[in-house]
Amino acid sequence: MITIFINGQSQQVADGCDLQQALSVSASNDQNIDLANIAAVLNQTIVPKSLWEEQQCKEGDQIELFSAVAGG
Amino acid sequence: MLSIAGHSFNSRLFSGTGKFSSSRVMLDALKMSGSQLVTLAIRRIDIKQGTDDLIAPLTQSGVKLLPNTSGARNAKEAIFAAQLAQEMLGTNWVKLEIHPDPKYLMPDPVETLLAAEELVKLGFVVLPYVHADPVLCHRLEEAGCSAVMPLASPIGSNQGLLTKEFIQIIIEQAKVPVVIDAGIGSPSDACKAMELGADAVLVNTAIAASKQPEVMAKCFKQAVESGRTAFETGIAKVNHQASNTSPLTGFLQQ
Repeated sequence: MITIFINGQSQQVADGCDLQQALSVSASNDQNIDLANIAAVLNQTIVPKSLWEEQQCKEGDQIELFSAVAGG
Repeated sequence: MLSIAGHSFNSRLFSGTGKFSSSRVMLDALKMSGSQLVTLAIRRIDIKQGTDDLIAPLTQSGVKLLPNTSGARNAKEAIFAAQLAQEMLGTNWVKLEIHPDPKYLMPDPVETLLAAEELVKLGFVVLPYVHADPVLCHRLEEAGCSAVMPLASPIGSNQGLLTKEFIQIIIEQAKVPVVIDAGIGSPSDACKAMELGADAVLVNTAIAASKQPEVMAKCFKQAVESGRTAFETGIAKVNHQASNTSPLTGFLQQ
């Protein structure tokens, strides 16, 4: 297992897992996270959703998730 | 019909999605407003709180989404916010807003111009929120912005058209659509902006904070339509002395 950080919270995921799998684990742990309309930033670089399955996670990765909220 | 970057809009009332008491109230109000372009913001997810189900119902309602860059304090952050929004929502449209000052939320003109130049190069359709500065609006137009969005008064203040004289200059000079944004407090403010020749207005707080947002949304819809029709028809000139509306001769005496 490796430790990654999603919006500052540590998360244990399988060694060699990809970003899609890591985010799915996080989403299943927290039912309020809908992966459909979010953007993911890995170590300060935006990773397009189409590349989530190709992006392998490493120990200590910092993942930031963003979503749309109401605004003017 | 209003056209921005090749996209046509039947409604000249754009709406914000903030400050509504619930999603249901927001959707009902948006429907009554007739708005076809609605704004939203981008934020880092609070993992404990989760995500709002905002996008799906908005998309289903058929409106076009206009993500903003609020929260950005400089050009770099605004560009990043625009790229996040593009990845998230699949749109290259962005309402560029950079207001580092939390008290008055005045837009930073220097950072806004820098961000606009870069975002246009990156292929974004940029609608910048700015002070009612005709020179800045001209520079943003030259930079390739698809519209300009000068403020009427500070965001959420409901003070109405404090910048009216300068908005008139912007409307006179602009070759891109002029959308009056921020501070419009009442339907009469919106109507007045349209009478001046604005291409559209963006309203959020005045509708969302109303006791009955869906009713107020309809009031704004009517006001915008009325103001626009009056502008297109040609509003009578102001005279500085009286002008009789019926003949002054022929009553009692020849």
